[in-house]
Amino acid sequence: MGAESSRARVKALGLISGGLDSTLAARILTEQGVEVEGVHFSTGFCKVDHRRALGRPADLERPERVRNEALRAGADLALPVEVVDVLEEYLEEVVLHPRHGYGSAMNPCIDCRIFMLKKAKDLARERGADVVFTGEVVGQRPMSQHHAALSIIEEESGLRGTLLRPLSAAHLPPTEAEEDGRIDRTRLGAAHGRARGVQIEMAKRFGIEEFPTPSGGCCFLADKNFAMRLRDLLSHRDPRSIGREDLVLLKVGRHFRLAHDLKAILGRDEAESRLLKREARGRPTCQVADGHGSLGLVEGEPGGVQVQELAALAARYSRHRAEPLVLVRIGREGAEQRVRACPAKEDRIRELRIGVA
Amino acid sequence: MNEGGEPAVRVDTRGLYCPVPILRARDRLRDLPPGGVLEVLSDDPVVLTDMPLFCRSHGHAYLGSTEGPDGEIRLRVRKGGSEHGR
Repeated sequence: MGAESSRARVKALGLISGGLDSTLAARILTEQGVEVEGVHFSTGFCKVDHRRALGRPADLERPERVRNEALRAGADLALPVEVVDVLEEYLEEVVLHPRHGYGSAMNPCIDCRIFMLKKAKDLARERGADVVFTGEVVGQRPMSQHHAALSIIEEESGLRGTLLRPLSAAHLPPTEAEEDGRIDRTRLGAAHGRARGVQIEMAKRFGIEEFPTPSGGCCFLADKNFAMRLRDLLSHRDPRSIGREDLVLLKVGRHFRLAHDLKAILGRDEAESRLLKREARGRPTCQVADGHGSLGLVEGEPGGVQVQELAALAARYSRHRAEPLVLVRIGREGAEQRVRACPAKEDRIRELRIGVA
Repeated sequence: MNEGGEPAVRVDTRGLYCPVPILRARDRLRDLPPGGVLEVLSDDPVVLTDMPLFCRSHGHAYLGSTEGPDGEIRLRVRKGGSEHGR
């Protein structure tokens, strides 16, 4: 990145989520004439992506519920935001082997930031950017945005001196570009902590009206129920075989482990059942014969007793759960069998269920 | 109805959820000369929200879409000529 230091105009590459903080960080820099590009790493664990995949009609009618906010920010700020699919590397390097450990669930927040910043550093070099920036605010998040964590992240990502946090710059040592005056430090922010007042004020000043409201975390890895399902999957499958479609399924429905190589996922509502049907892709499904119940996707090849057990689950999560015997269809499309089963009892449900929902 | 003439390249992203269709479209656009038209086939309705945003962010022209009764969506994009049109 250093070769560009003699240029009159500074170029910066930022991690853009499309949230208010990264949008403001980009805007602060463009206001002082910095050329800005953005990058957004798609890991497969994003909660908004799940809402998008479910495609509930009420959500699809409201673009702000389903749009990719990083692209929206790029469009509104008139700067190119590159979306990069990093799922495979992310799963291996960050989720499975975090050097700095997990947060309250399976969220390796510090390793996640280091991973993304290393990637951003490589892209910055490729694009001739002098600086990498983020929308991080000192003290905003307990695990990854306290002073010590920000320093570790900067050091391990190899961006010491070239990593700029425009919203909190006043609380951090100056970057090289600030020290030599290419970026005016006096025009950078002094935001600190969890309160959002400074950012809301900045947004007003910049005329930024559209931004997603923070909603208690946007990453499934911080969700304890999701973490239980992911741990279960990792203990029954080769991690190298896990792809984006597996992550889509981990986020949906009720999960039941019947054997090492047999699992069922039952939808909790119509949208989830629709997604499971779409994702069956030749795999067996189960549902009460008249269709008035959850659709279950079966991963694996059930034997005789297991067919009965799956039918009992489908019967339990149906309109007929109070009936003694329920007719269930189970199998691959076009080759289904019909089975009568008693709805599964609560104690059996608890034995088979992965997670709590 | 769409404008922009016959597409030079088509990309089929059916069965994939956004953002993957956008990434596939971006990759194919890189192979096109400025002004070239790409047709994207998708069955994820979210693509109708994301594709215009992607085009605005990257300097391409979003030419519109048609939807079939089976939920199949065809979108057209004309590659921009700026440095961002990559």
